[in-house]
Amino acid sequence: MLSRALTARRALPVAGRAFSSLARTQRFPAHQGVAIAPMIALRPPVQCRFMATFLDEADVTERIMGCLKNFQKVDPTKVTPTSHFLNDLGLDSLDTVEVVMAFEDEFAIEIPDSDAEKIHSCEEAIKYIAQHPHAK
Amino acid sequence: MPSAHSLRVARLYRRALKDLMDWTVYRDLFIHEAHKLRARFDAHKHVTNATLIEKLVSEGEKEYEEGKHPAPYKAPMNPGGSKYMRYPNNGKGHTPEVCAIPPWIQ
Repeated sequence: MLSRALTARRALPVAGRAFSSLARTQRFPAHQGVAIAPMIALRPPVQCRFMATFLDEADVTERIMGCLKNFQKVDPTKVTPTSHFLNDLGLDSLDTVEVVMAFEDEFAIEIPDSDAEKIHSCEEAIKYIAQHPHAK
Repeated sequence: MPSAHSLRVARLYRRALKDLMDWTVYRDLFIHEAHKLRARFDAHKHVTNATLIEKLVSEGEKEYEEGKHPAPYKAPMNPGGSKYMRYPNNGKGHTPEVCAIPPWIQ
């Protein structure tokens, strides 16, 4: 099985050259069918610590709201998935810094300073963390 | 109320907190020191004189630059981290043989 895959892999550039006169759309199916399929069959998807996965948005929302409710200066009844830190929750700019750092701890990520400045509401935080590949 | 200086102060506060985390690795100690740091910022919360604000912020930035940690913590996946731009096994992660806990540990 392995030797077959390796042969197919080595043959790939040659096949590419052979088909180069044809249109791109015609070349792709042959290329996929011959070379890629056996290679995929060899390697089943492996779950691993450092594989990029994205968290579910509902899960992120729940954890962010939990995080905010635990914050000393926040009234837990006011926290909603759309609340703004400054306008709705009555936090100041330094509290916002602390909240964003709490999110970093919660999801085990490090947000660059330039991105952290742009997070001013729950919505923005949820969007950022749901799109972060290493959030846990 | 957001003012011209609030972004600069927030930036300084964030950097100072991160720096404090590098110096005080124990969480209880960090929280204690962080409260003290916050109190130092809050002491000048109601200053409105632009010249004085400028003086205070530049003093704070100078203090941060002089006292910052020589080897700050870097998250593994961020620039400077040990796993930055490394994609083992073609981005699929390590194979189960590599991840498995060896029998002599169990």
